[in-house]
Order: sequence, then C-alpha cells, then structure tokens
Amino acid sequence: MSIGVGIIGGGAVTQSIHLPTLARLPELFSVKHVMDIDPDTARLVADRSGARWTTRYEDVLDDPEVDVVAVCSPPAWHPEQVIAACRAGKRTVLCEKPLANSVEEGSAMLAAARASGTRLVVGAMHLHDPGWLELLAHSESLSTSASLIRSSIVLPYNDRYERWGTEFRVPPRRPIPPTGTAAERAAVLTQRMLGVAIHDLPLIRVHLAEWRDIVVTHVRLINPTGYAVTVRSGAQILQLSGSMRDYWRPEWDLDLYGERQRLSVTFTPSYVHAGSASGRLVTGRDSVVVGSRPQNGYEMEWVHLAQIHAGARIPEDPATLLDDIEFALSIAGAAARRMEEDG
Amino acid sequence: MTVQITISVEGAQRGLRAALASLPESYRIVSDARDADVVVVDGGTPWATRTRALLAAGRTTVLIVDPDRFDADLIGELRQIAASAGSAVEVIRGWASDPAVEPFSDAVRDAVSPIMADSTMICDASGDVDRAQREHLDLVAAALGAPLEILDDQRVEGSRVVTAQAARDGASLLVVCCTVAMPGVEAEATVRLLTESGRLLLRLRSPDSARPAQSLIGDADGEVIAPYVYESAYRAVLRRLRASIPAGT
Repeated sequence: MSIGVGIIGGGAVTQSIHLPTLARLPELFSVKHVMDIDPDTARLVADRSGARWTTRYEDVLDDPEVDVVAVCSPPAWHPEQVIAACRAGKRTVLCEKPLANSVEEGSAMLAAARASGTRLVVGAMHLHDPGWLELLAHSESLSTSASLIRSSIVLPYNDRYERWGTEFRVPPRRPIPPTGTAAERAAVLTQRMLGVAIHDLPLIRVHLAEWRDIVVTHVRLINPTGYAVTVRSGAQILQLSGSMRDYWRPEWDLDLYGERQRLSVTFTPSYVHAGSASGRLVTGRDSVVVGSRPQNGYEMEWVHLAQIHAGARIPEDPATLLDDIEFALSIAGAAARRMEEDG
Repeated sequence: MTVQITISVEGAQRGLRAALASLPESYRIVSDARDADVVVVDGGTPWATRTRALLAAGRTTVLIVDPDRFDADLIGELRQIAASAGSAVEVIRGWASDPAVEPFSDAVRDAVSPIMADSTMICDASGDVDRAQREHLDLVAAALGAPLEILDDQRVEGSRVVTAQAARDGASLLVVCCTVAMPGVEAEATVRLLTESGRLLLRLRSPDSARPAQSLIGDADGEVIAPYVYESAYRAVLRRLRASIPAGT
C-alpha cells in the first residue's frame, strides 16, 4: 500500500521536482492533497495527481489519507507548518531547505518533532545523491583534512530546466531585488546563500574540523544573481561561488583538496530528473571514479523517506539537522555582516 | 640560407634547450655570452642584476626564463634600459607564455558582459608552493589581459586562495584564484571567465607536459574548442623572438 502524501505549497519546486519524482515511485507514494494559497495553482497541481486541493494547509494536516507531509512553501512558513504537522500527529514530514530561518526556530521545530515522534527529513537532495554517497564512502580518510573546499555552482536560470521537468505552468522569473544600499546587498546575499549555496553546505560542514569557528574574509555579490565568499575555518579555507545567468552550460562542482586526496564531484543541475552526481577521488596515483547512477538525489530522498516512514531506516539525527541549519545561517549571517561592513 | 641567431644559455634550462633543439635553423648555441646575439638568463638566479649587467656590457637581446618573482614593473624598467641602448629584453614564463594564452586573452578582451573570473591551479607539493601561486597569478593576469589587484590572500598548509580584481572597461572584475599543492600530481591550471551569456575556459597542463592547453569559448549557440597547439611556451617565445630579430644581426 502506497504512502499518502500531502503537499503544502504548489510552486515550481513542487511542480517540477517533487511531483515528477513521486510519479516515478507509484508503488511507494500517492499524492492525496495539495495546498497552495493560489486556488488556481492548488487545483492545477492537485488535478495532475488526482489529489484533493485546498488553500488552507490545515486541511492537508486534517486529511486522514495523508501520512507524509511535504512542506514546500516559502521558508518563512516552514516553522509554523512543520510544527503544525507534528502536532497533527503526522509521522513523517519532509521540509524543503532551508529548514528554518534561525537556530531558535529550528530548535522549536525539532522539539515539536521529538514530542510527537515525527521523523523530520530536510529536502537537501545532494545528501541523498547516490553518486555523492558512494564517493563519500571511499573518501573517509579525507574526513576533515581538506585544506581547501571549493563549491562552485554556476547554472542557467532554473526555468531552462523546469520546462523540461514538467508540463506544468512555470512561474515567470522573479525580478532581481535591489542592491543599491549595503543593507539591500546584505539581504540579497543572504537570500543567495540560503537559496543556492545551501545545497552543498551540509556536505561541506562534515568536512570542516571547526565548523563553528568561521571568519568570512571576503565577500562580493556577482551580477546578475551570484556571489563569491571566502571563509576561513581554522586551518581550512572554504571558497563558495555561485552564479545563475542566461548560459546553457551548467557547472555544479564541489572539490575537496586534502594532503593526499582530492575529491571532485559534479552534480546535475536542479530540476533535472536523471542520474546522480559523478566524480573522482584521487589518492596519490590511484583514482576511484564514480559515474552517474540511474537514480538522482530527489528520487533517493523520497526512497529514504519511505524507508524511514516504514521504520526500515534510521532518520537523520535531529542534532545533525540543527547543526546543518546553524552552519548555513552562520555562514550566511557572517557573509551578510561582512558585506554591510564593506559598505 | 637562413642566418642563425647565436644564443648562449646560462643554467640547465631543460625546457628551453628542448625548444632550441626543435629550432635548428633559427638558433645556434654558443658557449660564450660575448659571442651571442641572445643571452638566456636563468630566472632562478638574481636575474634582474644579471640582465642589467648584460645590457651594460652591450648584449643585444636578453631572454629571462622563468623568473622566480615575475614583476611587471621591473621588467618594464629593464625593457626601457634595453630600448635606450638599442637592445631588447624578453621573458619566458612557463605558464603565462603558453601559446594558448594570448589568443585566449584576445577572446577575453572581446567578451561581452563579464561577471567574474576564477582559476584553480594544482601543483606538486614537492615544489615551491609560493612560487606556484605567483606563477598562477601571473598566468591569470596574462589570460585576462590585466594586472591583478589583490583584495584578500588566505593561506593554509597546502592551499592558497587569493581574491583579486582586474580592471575591465572602467570597472573591476572579481577574480578568485585557488592554488593547491598535492604530492605526485601533474600540475594543471584552469582559468574561467563567466559572462552574462557565455563562458571562456582555458585549461593548461604543466609546462613540462606533452598535453596541449585546451581553450573553449562558449556563447548562446554553443562552444568552440580552439585547435590544440603542441608547442611549448619556450618554443613559442623563441619563434617570436627569432622573427623579431633581423637576419644578419
């Protein structure tokens, strides 16, 4: 019997990522209820899955056929809706990244989950990517010894891929927010760090020996929608850069350089529904090459969620989820403060 | 018959001697600098002092090979001294003089709406990492066709990250350069310029490598790979130098 899914938020991520993924896993899941504040969107998205629709998230939580709730609303709504899902007795909740907007919010969400026995999964597809996980298993000795970690996320605008991932309506590109003042630039940088860079921050955090000890040494917004941030963490350097623009070639790379090992991973762009990351681990003169696996991070995220829901897999330690959001917020916050200081 | 240029080589200069061996009609090696049209100075020695001495002694052309601290201002000063004496000073830099760099730099100059550049060099940890970083920054400046103004320089054991800016059409272009030292690797460098609607990428192997540089210029219609040039930086500069020296000098 498939697991009933209720979705809160019917935007691009739901339309182009979660619904096509769930449609590939009919033996595991069936979408039962979709909520969006826009009734046309809610109806459209629900109809495609044969699900009920609503403009109130409480209706999704009250639906007895909904076993799993996917919170895909804007981040500001995550705490309220996740906590409500826990209190409604839902056994498993998937919350899109970022989990929370502050450590306090994250703590409250995890406390609610603990109190209700809800298993909380954060929608961070690279953490579930089989290519990444295979490379990670080979690179245990790299651990926290990388002197340089470089994350470069250079992608076309999302709508290039959204149109290939679904037949649904894709919302128009949002205008680029103003960057005239230091405060505006800091706000935009925070948004880009928590919207783009965050994808790989949990992967990076586990490779930093002193991840709470970070100093942002340089920061710059890159036009039209990018960032470049250099971070010092103890004896390690973290270089984060990203850019979205009108160019067809995606380059999503994560490189870790250790004393004797080099791990280079290339991820598929967001919204692409085929294949995992691929990469290479070089140790001295030896290489381990991992080619693209058939299942991608989105699919495995839901497969893992089904296993957690069935009790066949241990969910991520809540402390890890809190550490991940603390790290992401601290990097984004320190970068934004540095940007404001620089004027 | 082509008139050969006489050249004297100070130091071992393995790469340069290999290049000279491939230019038998253009150059003839002589042992005494006083008999040479071109005197090659080892960049691992106090090359500026040696160059000044050679120019003062009336040598026609001085070729500095792989200066350990490339200093554009100092080279300019030496060139001025040479020009006033009717001489010339040339420089070979293992990475920056690669024959793929100049056409790449031309493409960079023509690129519309650049948004940032970055570069990563991996070098052998058994060598001098600081020198590798200097050569890396030198390469990036040559590839971008503009000197770099360093904004941030982070160093840890094994890695360096420099954030810089390069002047570009009255504005500044952000440049991030990562240099990593690892044992037993073949050195390589990748320079990338992102524009609002394209990408320019230059991938170079160690100057000692047989593998040629790869240069890719991308726009909305696709990406063009420049033809591979199986010529070392040493040979490319020697050929250019030969062409600049009139026969019979």
